[in-house]
Amino acid sequence: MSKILIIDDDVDIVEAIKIVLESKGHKTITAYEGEEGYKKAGAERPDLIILDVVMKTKDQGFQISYKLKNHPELSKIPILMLTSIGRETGFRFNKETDEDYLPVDDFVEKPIKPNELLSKVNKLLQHK
Amino acid sequence: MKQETDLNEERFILERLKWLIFIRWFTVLFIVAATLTAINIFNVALLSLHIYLVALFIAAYNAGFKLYIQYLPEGNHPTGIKRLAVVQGMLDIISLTILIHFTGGIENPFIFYFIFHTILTGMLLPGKGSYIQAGIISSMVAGLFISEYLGVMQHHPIKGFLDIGIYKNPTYIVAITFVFTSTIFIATFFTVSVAEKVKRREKELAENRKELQEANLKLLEKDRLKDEYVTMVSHDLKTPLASIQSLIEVLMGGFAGQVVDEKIKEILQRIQRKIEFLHHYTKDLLDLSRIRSAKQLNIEELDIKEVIDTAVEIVLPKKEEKDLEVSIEIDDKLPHIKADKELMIYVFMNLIANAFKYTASGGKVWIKVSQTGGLMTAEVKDTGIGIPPGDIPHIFEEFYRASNVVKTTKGTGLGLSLVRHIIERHSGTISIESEQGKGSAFRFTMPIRMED
Repeated sequence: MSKILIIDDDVDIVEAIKIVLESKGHKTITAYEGEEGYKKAGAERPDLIILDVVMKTKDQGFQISYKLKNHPELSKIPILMLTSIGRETGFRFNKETDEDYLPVDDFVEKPIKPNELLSKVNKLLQHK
Repeated sequence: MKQETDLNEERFILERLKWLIFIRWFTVLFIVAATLTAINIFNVALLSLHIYLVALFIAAYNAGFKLYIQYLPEGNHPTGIKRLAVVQGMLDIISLTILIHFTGGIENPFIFYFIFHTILTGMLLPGKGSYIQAGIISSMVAGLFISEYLGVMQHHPIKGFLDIGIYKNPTYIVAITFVFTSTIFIATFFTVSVAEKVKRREKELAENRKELQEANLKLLEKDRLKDEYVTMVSHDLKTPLASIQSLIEVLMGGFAGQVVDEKIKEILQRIQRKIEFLHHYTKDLLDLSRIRSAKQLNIEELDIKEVIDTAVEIVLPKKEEKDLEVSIEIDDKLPHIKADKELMIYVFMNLIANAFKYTASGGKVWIKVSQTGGLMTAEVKDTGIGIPPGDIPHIFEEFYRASNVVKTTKGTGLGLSLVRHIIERHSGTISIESEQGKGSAFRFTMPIRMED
């Protein structure tokens, strides 16, 4: 089973994801702030990172994803990005069109649909 | 404020001064023509040289004023303009008096032309100035009559017109002077009172306009604040709603332990439905305030077919299990349109979702796009429940929901108002045709190439 790092400032979202992933036997690590998450990624070397966009700043998640992908050793870890901003800012994220400037591997919309989350998590873990 | 109305008054006077300069050219022409006519047709002997000199003098100072006004710097002439009006008036009076003197003085019926001058200056100058001018005219004319009577000034009779020496008749002088003076003053009185009224009205209008503009600006600002507020509130509502929704999904999916009790399952479903509604509501509110406050459209080249396919794909889940026939018909010749992609998808999404939502199994939904001239017309038609006639005029209003659906289906009443807003932002119009029980057709027309 895999080790998954969840980075989101919303404790309830973190809790929901944690329950879902742990029910399938995954081990979870949590961080409630971007920088803290980045540090934990370095220390724990998870198999997958689930990362929220809007935390301390509106784009902290983006910043962290850049930092991770530019890190020599952490760049291999797949990132699943949590978004809820599709409708608010007027653009929806899409793996095909946005990967050039967003170095993440897939997106999950909030609210979390457990089955969708699990299938995306499994896909990324397999591809690893 | 006061400075501004002063400036308006200056502009008002300046405009009339220009007009006065314009008609003064005709006065010059008239003097020359009248002299020529009198001499050649009526065989009247006139001091033509003197008259032409006076005409030349008038023409010269008129040209001077014209140049002066032309080269006057804009907005830099508050008191100068009034002084200019007085100087012009004085020069006119002097010229006319000299002219009268050379053409028979009291015997010249043209003295009554001073009335025109009185009326013109009455419109130009403030009341006091006009009365002073009326006084100057009267005294100059009376002075002329008396001087000629006393022999202080030489009388130049119009030979062949009045050779009876009226200028020596004191009774006639008194009578003419009285009638002349009273005519001038009465004319001044009427002109000034009308002119003052007009000026006052103009000032009031300008003030009203300014007040309206200010009120309008305040309203716009309030509207903007309202949109901002709505955005903030719905955004703040959306975040905890997403958490609640996520947690309920986790519970319902049995990830935190099996939900075995049917009653508990049912309650969870009820909660889930209400939360979902709130979620959609805040989403619609956010869309509304976002689109309303968006300053610019994101115009790009679009393939309308792609837009419709995307929209249909997004709303397909709303078709649920219903058996609906969906037909999409797009004019082959329709070029790529220029519009905001995101918003156009939104428009079709809303219209198609409504058609799905309100059409029963076995029904039909048409999506048709055609073009005429530079316009694109799109239609979304269904065989659904239709809209009651009384609701049709309100159907595009914010938060309005038709009376036949308000109890039976969930909805925010924001979708169609947003659709209309988007179409209008694209310089288009939207209309609806509907018959209750038979179906509805939403049709919108907009320019194919919306400019940025």
